Amino acid sequence: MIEARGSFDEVVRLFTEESEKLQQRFQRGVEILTGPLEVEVGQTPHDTVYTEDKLKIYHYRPVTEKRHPVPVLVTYALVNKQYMMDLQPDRSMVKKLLEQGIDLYMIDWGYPSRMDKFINMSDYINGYMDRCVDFVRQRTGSDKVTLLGVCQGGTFSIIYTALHQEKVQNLVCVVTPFDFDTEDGLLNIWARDMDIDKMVEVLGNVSGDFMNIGYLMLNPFRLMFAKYIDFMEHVDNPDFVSNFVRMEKWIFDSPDQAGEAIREFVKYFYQQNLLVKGQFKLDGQLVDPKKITVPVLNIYAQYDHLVPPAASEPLLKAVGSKDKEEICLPSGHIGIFVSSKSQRLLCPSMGKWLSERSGPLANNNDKNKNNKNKNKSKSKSKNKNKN
Amino acid sequence: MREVRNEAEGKQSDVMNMWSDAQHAWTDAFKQMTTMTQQILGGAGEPGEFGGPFDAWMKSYRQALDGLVKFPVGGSLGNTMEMFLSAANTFLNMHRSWLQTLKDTHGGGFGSDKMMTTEALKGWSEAVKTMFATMTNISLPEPVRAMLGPAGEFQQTMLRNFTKNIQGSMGGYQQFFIPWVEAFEGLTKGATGVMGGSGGPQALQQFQDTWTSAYHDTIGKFFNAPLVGPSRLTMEKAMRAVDAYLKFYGANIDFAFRVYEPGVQAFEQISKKAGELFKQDVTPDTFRDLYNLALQIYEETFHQMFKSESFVRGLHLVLDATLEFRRCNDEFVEVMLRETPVVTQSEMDEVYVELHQLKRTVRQLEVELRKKQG
Repeated sequence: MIEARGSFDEVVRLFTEESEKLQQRFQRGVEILTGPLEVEVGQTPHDTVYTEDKLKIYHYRPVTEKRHPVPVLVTYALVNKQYMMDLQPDRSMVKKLLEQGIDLYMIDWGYPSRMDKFINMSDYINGYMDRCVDFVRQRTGSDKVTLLGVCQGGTFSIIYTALHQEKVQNLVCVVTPFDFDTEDGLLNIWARDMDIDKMVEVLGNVSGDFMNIGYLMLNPFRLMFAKYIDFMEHVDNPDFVSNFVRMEKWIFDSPDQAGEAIREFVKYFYQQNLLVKGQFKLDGQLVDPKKITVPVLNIYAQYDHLVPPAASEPLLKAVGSKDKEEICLPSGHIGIFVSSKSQRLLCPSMGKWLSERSGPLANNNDKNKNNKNKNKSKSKSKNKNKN
Repeated sequence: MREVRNEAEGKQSDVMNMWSDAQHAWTDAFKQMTTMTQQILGGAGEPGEFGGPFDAWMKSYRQALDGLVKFPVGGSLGNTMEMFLSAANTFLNMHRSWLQTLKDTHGGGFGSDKMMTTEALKGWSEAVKTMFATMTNISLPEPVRAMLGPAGEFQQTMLRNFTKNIQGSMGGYQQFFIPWVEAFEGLTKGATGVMGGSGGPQALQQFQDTWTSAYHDTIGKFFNAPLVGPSRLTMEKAMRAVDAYLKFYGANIDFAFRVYEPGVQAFEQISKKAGELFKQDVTPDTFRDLYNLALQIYEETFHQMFKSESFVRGLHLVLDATLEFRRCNDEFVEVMLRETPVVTQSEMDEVYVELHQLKRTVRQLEVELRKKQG
């Protein structure tokens, strides 16, 4: 990389060359940015099939024959938007899952306003999430759903599964924090002694911008400076610019956090680490990960600076499932969804794992029919009793 | 008619003369007081001794300015800051002498040379007396004269009150500023340690603790003092907001120091590495190499700092101060909005919490209803 060049003149010559190149790139960049640019996100066709308050459930239109009878419900984190999984058409995890015949549903939590500051974890998990699961079960006729939880959504999915296992076929956690007592993550260190009570009391909801400042501070030189220098270096490449703008759109599309929910999340998990200790209670019910016996797939990223491997890895040891597996990918927290390597490795592995645990479609259809008949006979017998 | 006009012109002339005399008297009194102060601060009784510390201050200030001008070439910010701090220190030393003088006055004497100080005080007192006498020595209408009482009584009362007020305010002045003057040495030491990189986290700690302590002993007490009267609540909220702002400001300064030190360290490392490369007659293949090197060093240095206990403490301090300021500010704003037809956040929160509870109840009832319906 570094060669002997000799004189100061050489440095000046190099500097001049670089400046000229930069100028040309910048000129081309302006043309690209002001011209027609493809920056849409979440483009895979879908329908809104359920709404409640600010929450929506999207059902993605199948692109191939349905191969897995158990529907998959994606529970994304509250802190960012779910379209990260469908950010750009050529690297869409949603698209890849659909191509494998998965019946895919996804929760969009919406944007909490001041009105929602009293929503707590119980409202999210035992309330909204439970009603979403019931809706998908009812709509598909399937007794159970596969929960695919991402990041904080994964933590919610773990809690949900521990409390409502009868409705869950499989649990898939992607970059999910489970053991919060680690020195590997700056967020874990910073949140430990934070006065979250005061924060919620004063701010009501914790703003997305505030959260973003925290995330940027994890690596300020890379995220606030180097990233834009890189952008300038590739500003003459329309594809790069499109994807960069999409990513920027996602990064800074951060919903505010409902006050009570984030208070509980930080206090009980980041500060007291109750989940991994099996001491967390939701609505008075103990959330014991050991009670989880459904198949569990835990996916995490080796270079994740938001949820370090040390926070995700302990999940498999803690659950009571016999059928459990983990996949560690050489990427970061976001790269796991958009890097070409992840796309190549992760989606087929996930699809294969799910297909092996969702049962053949025909059997499930029979089962659904049986269930329907059972329900019919139940209601008939009740009607009889009434009569 | 003419007599009346002459009388009016005479009174006008009296007032003008009085104003002119009063200004002269005030100038003379100030001159006399300044001379006396110079004598006391100089110690030897010679006028102009006060100029010694003043010259020292100006000298170090000028040096600091010179350092600042040379900064881009010489990279001597650390030294410049030290010189600035030294200048500020000299200035405060002068201030300290002045305060000591006041302290002694308040305690009944002017240091060791009592004869000199007594004379000076006497002179000062006479000067003030003359000033007041001149200011009030006008041909006032008879009813006003009668109201003011026998000749000279009013002036005497005024002088007595003035002296008392001066003494009282001097005491308050001492109490208010002495903690800052005493704290300044610690602040200088802490700041110099941080700037020069020699003090480490202890220097930061010292700086912040000293600042906080001095603040709490002086301005903080004032802003947190209980108030009385019909606007007590509003005024208290306003003063708490100012107090919270000053604490927020202090916490930010502390935080900036914490980030500054590793920044300087990283910059020094980069300069050193770049210097080594150039000495070896090696130049970067492109400027990207140097940029990558700088980025790597910054990232590593700051990552270590972000993990450190000192940084986390500073982060929490600044966050806490920010939230406190926001809380006080919001409370004050709500008080101000109370008289307007604008609904406040607290009022809306009362509605929201009711709504939230109602929603929960409705959902529970729905579940129960479904169960009962089978």
